[in-house]
Amino acid sequence: MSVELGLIIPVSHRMDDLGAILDLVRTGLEATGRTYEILFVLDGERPDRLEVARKLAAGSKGVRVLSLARAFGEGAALRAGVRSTTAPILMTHPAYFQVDGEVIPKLVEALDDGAEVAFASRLPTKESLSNRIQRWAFNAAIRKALWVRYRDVACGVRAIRRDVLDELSVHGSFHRFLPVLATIKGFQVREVDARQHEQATHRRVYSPTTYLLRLLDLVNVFFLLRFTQKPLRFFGLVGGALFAVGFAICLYLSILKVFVGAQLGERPLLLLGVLLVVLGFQTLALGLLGELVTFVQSSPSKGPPIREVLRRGSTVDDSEEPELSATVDEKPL
Amino acid sequence: MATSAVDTKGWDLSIVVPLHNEEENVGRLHPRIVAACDPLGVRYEAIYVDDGSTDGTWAELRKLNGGAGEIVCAQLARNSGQTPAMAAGFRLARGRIVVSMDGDLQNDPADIPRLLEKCDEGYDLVCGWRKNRQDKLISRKIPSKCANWLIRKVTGVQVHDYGCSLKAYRRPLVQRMRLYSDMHRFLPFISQMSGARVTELPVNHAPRIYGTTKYGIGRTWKVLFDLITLKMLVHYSSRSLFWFFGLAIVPLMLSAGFMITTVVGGIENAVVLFGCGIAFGTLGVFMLFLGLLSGILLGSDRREFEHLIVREHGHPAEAPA
Repeated sequence: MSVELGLIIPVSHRMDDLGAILDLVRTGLEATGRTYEILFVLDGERPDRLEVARKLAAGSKGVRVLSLARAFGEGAALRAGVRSTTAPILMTHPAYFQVDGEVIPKLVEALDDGAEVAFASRLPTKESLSNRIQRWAFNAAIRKALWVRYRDVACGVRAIRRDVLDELSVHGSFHRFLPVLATIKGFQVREVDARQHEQATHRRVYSPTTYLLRLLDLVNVFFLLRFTQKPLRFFGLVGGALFAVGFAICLYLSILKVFVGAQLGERPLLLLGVLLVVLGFQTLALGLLGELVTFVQSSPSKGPPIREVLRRGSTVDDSEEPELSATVDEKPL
Repeated sequence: MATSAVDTKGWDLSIVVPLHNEEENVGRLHPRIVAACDPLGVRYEAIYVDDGSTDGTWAELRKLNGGAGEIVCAQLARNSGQTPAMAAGFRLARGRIVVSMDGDLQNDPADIPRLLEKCDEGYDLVCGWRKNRQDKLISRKIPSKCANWLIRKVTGVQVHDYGCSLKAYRRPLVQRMRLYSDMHRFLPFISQMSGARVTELPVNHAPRIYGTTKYGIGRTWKVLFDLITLKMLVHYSSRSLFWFFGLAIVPLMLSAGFMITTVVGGIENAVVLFGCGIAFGTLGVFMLFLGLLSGILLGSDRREFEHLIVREHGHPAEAPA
């Protein structure tokens, strides 16, 4: 049985009442008037959660329950969900309340309207100040580091076309940045305003580790987007600068030694200079190793996807398999 | 091969033109290609690759017609850059010889017959050489001259003009090259890595009249780092894994020098000298380990020799005409 919409609910650390969440998304999905399935993907097999999810699935049609044999994180749960559904449009919803369910049909509409990725964006509400500050900081950091301007990319209610997701190669915990990644890769991304759910406003405080991990994710995304193809441009620039400073210090000291006859033994500056030279070289060498990785991964057959090929008198749409584009369809233009 | 689905029988020539926001030039370029290729009496196709243009380029492409050859217009899903756009065009190419050129009317299609002739003399790649380049001196020509000189020195491929897009390839070469990122500048070198016979030919060059250039002086530092990469890949292509090991020698010798001075000299600032010795020694050992790591990486290269040209001898189709 193939369905039109596949909605994935990853169940990880944070969760509200799953039954209520199910009601919420089901109402939203019903409003689209399409066939759908809902997948609960449990991150790890905690018996109590499994029990709850199983009961929900038994009580209603179109609900499936998957579980990861071990806790691998939300990203892994999402991917497992994506793999086990065949729906051409994928949606995600967190296992807790974020926005009202009426945004779901709006997201699907946005995709019909030409968007390739659509995500809900929480409108400012009576939410606690600390929550709002956190969200603002996260989005501001994205704006500064990646030059992509959205109000609320962290909202987990999203819709994406399957072929787009395949092309995006989202790994690790990068799903958080999905709208940003898609925007930078040139996809059509739409932000859809949504009212915040009334139960989503309680104050959230995470451990310092969580904040640190988010920051590292951001740095990682920034690096991957800008320099995956050309790692030496990053490492080279940094390494080159370190080397230049180190070299300048050494040169200065050499001049002092030769012309002034200064005693270098009492000058820690010499060690600093030498260490900077060494560090600069190491950084450069790491960049070269990165280039080697890129080269090894490149291949003659890889390349950007072709949306459409027109031949005089015929038209072929081959966004799926660019290599096969020469199989000419005999349809008249 | 990725191109097995393409029926290439009977096609002599493919012309690949990547375009990004060139709506004013497309309509003018095609008649000139037709004028150059129709008299040759060969079966040819003109492949236009629209690299995510935001202006009317795609609409203009849809209107194209005329000439004895086939017109192929491909639209990339999004803006990907010149090299990937060219690679996409190469994937579609069916001709025995593939010619690439810019879509800004600065390259002259009238040069195509001469490029073909040269190719048929037995070369796998014929590079255009803009002997009388019609661009701004300070912002374009001088940086380009420097870059070309540097690339020549580093790669050892004796071509005057690396930046010229007008080139003719034999198709087997085109479909073996690993094209990614900004590699189009180094195509002659990449080709030679495949074992290709490379030569060059002076071509016409006209000043840009319509549209705007997509280049600036800001990319010079990128070329510099790309060159270092290429230098490494030269060695890789000939399987000398020990490039990193070579890099280790200098710091190791420096380290030895410092340490010997310390021990033999026994001079007053022994601590500093010995410290330097240790620092450089560390670097040397680091490089050695990187060399080992690079060995692991290269061992994981599944397409290790895929880029090499393998010629079959005594086969009429591959022999130069």
